[in-house]
Amino acid sequence: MLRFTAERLVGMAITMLLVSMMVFLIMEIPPGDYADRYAFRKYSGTGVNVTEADVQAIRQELGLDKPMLLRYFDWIGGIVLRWDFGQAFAFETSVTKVIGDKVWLTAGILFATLILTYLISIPVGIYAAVRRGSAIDYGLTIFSYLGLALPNFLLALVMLYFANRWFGADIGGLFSAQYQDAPWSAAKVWDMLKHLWLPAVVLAWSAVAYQIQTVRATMSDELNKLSVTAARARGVPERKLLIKYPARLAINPVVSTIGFDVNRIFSELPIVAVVLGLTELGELLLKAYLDLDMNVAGAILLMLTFAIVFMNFLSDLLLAWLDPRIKLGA
Amino acid sequence: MANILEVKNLTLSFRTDEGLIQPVRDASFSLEKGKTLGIVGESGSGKSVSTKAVMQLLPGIASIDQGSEINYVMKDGKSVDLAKVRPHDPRMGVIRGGEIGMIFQEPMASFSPIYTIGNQIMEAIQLHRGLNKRQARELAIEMLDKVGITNPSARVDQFPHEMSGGMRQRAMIALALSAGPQLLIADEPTTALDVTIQAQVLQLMRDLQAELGMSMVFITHDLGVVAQVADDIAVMYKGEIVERGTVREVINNPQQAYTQRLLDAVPRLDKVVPPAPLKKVRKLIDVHNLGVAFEVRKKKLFRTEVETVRAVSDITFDILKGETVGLVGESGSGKTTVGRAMLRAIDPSEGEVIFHRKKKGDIDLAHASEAELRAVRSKINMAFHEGPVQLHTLGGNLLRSFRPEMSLVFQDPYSSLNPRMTVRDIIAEPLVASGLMTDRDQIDERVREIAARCKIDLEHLRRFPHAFSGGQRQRICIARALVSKPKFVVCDECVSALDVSIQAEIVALLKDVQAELGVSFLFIAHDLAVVAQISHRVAVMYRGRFMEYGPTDKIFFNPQHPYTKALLSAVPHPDPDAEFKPIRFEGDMIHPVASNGPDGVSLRIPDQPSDEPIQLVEVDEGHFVACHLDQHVTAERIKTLEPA
Repeated sequence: MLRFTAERLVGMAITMLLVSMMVFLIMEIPPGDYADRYAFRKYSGTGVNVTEADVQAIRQELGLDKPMLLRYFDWIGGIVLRWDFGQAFAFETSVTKVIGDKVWLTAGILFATLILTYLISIPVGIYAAVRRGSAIDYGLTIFSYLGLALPNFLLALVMLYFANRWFGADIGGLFSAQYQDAPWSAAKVWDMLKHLWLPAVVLAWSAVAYQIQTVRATMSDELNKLSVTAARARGVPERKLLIKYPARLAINPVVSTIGFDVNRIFSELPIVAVVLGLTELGELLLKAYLDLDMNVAGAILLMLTFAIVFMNFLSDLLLAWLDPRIKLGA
Repeated sequence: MANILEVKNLTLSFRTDEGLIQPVRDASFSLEKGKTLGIVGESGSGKSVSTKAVMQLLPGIASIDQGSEINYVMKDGKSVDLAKVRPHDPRMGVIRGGEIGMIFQEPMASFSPIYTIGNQIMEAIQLHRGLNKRQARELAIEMLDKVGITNPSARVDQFPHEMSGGMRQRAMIALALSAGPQLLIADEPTTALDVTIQAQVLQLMRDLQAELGMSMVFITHDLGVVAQVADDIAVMYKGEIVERGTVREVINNPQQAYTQRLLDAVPRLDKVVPPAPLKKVRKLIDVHNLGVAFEVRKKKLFRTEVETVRAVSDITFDILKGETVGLVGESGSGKTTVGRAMLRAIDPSEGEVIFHRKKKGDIDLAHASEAELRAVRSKINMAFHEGPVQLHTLGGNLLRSFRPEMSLVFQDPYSSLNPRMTVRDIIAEPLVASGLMTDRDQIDERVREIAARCKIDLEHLRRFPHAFSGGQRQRICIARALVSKPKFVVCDECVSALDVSIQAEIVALLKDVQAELGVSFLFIAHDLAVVAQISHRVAVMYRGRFMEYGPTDKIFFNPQHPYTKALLSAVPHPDPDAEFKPIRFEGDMIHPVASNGPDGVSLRIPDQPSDEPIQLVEVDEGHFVACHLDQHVTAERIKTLEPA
């Protein structure tokens, strides 16, 4: 297991390096560079004539005239060594400040959604497979199709309405008014958790529907395996048998797609965030693209891709633990 | 002695989409304590499912009908009617494993791949023996040792995929016995194993039964196996028990027509009359020094090691026009590789495969260019069997590249037919893919002609393959292989997956087709009796080499090589009075055997059939045996196989 982990760690480091290069390339793609946009923004409307020489001066001052490879190292070096993602020109402050707490809020929503998805879909999928053909199974199937067909924002609106009626007015956003700008404290975290469940439920809804079907399908296959019958034939109690043999393999496809889930949730986040009045990174990313604020976009992309790569690493480890054949290379 | 198990009027009902079906009807059988009951029957006869009813392991759609009784006498002497016990009844937890043990047909699949062998054996022990973990482990090791697994204290921590099939079945027996059952239900426990391994496992089971005084229900389709292990027999047919009695009564003097038919259909190695060798026929194919090596890539931390594995070496033989050459050997012996290399479905790494053509002259298939191959490819064909891969795809690819002169028939008639094509299109595929024929009417005519010859109902040509039984599917496969009128067809285990009665039909069909079309077959099979029935000559393979090669009667009735002798001795005959004393021959325990060849030539059979050069020595007319030659053998006495 140790060697396997080491191998995967090395793999992850290499992937992250390549990914960071790609993100940097993406940042370079829009026409014009930071100096152009900086000059435009700084002097537009002031009546000052900006010459190419002025822009060149800014470029030199910011080190943007260096070759691309060097600029890549400046950029990534700044991030690794000083947690400095550069300047967000649209906000005229550092990217770190712009992103600020949003990282943790976004991470919180992502994480809560993932946990909720797995907590519901795995046991329910297993149950549906064991009770195949029963009324409950059919009911769950109908729910699944509903879940897959219902658009997120609509669900968010409906949930918002009912949450408002049942739990009081203060349900949009991630914090109650009194904590909005308060420093972090235990009470603030608790307040956040109270708000977190709604976006998590909305975002998890379709994932749950989808993963229930996945777990149900693989579990049904596993249940028909001879090794399960053989275990039953040696008198293993049914509940223990289900968990030890088929279930362990049935969650395999769910575990192996953790990385995809992260990506999907992040993509769905902005619409839900708009409806629920959340401030999170997806919306910011969209805005950064529109403003061509590539430092901000790059920073968010980088964090997202790193999160996905890291989740893939975790899922590899989990898979190896679930199915020892993987690390034995069989 | 009292009966330990008495099944009375057992009727099972399955609720399926097609309505209620009864796979078992009114079946009654009983087993005396300490004895073995053999339940025989062909696939779908209900033999397996009726024992699953005893264990309450039936699928959810099944129910045991009113009036059925399964009386089982527990260890403490109390009788319980298992037909009335519900599957989740706590008593079943004791009975399953603790009272009645069970082993299954597929040793590959009966262990869970994600836990070690030891983990699963210890689970059974801890459930039924009340031992702690350490004691359970000790007992597990002891049991592994008892079933003949070497180095059990290391093996106990291995995963199933690290063991061979035979070893896994031994481990499964160890598992079933470790919980201390008094009755063992063995469901085709040796069917998936090679014949020599089967012989060992059968002996092991007989020994253990005697030692532990266990009772046994032994389910099998193989009358030879049942004749060797059972005291009593119950013959099942279409869900009913048609005949019951002692082994001797039933086999020597069957009362029912079905039993008689079944016995007649079984190919018997002890009574087979092989086809006589062909005389004065031209050679079709000459194989000379054929060898195949595979590269195996092993992933290490930062690099990949490439290892060359020699699958097949020094294969030299010929096939005459209209002849069937049988290729026998155990799994992994390289039979399939030889067949495929001859068709250039895989590239040989050395040697020649000379294909003699009357008009266009000889061609070496091993070195022919793609263009040259294309010209012969429908003259050679293949009919074969494979494991779980999507065979119809493979078949399609091979057929696309292998056109008018050669052909291939696959073993598994289920996966080798594309479910989305009609029977007509499947049979026509080689013609269409090779561009041999383009005219629709012409193709139709040829398809109908070949279908009629393979006894396929012409009405069926428009249907899809799912509607057909295994035997019918295999006919379709054979028709497909023959449609381009090939000169040479490789049949790779093409009857192995079929029931004996169907198997006999297909063998007869192949013989008929051969007589009519003059096609040559390379008939690859692990079932020696079937090979003996159909082959003019036979080659015995072991670890990628020929051990013995010659006319079928000489190979089967006067074998020379110790491996051939071991292989033949391992075949159980359907004769309860026949002595079953398999000779053991395992690669790592071969002892050098010296024997006297003709005219006092001293032959030394290799102890390790690997690196030392072996030569095929002609010991009798056309009968070759692999051996090492001692110095004093004179050159003129040795006729090694040279291409003519």
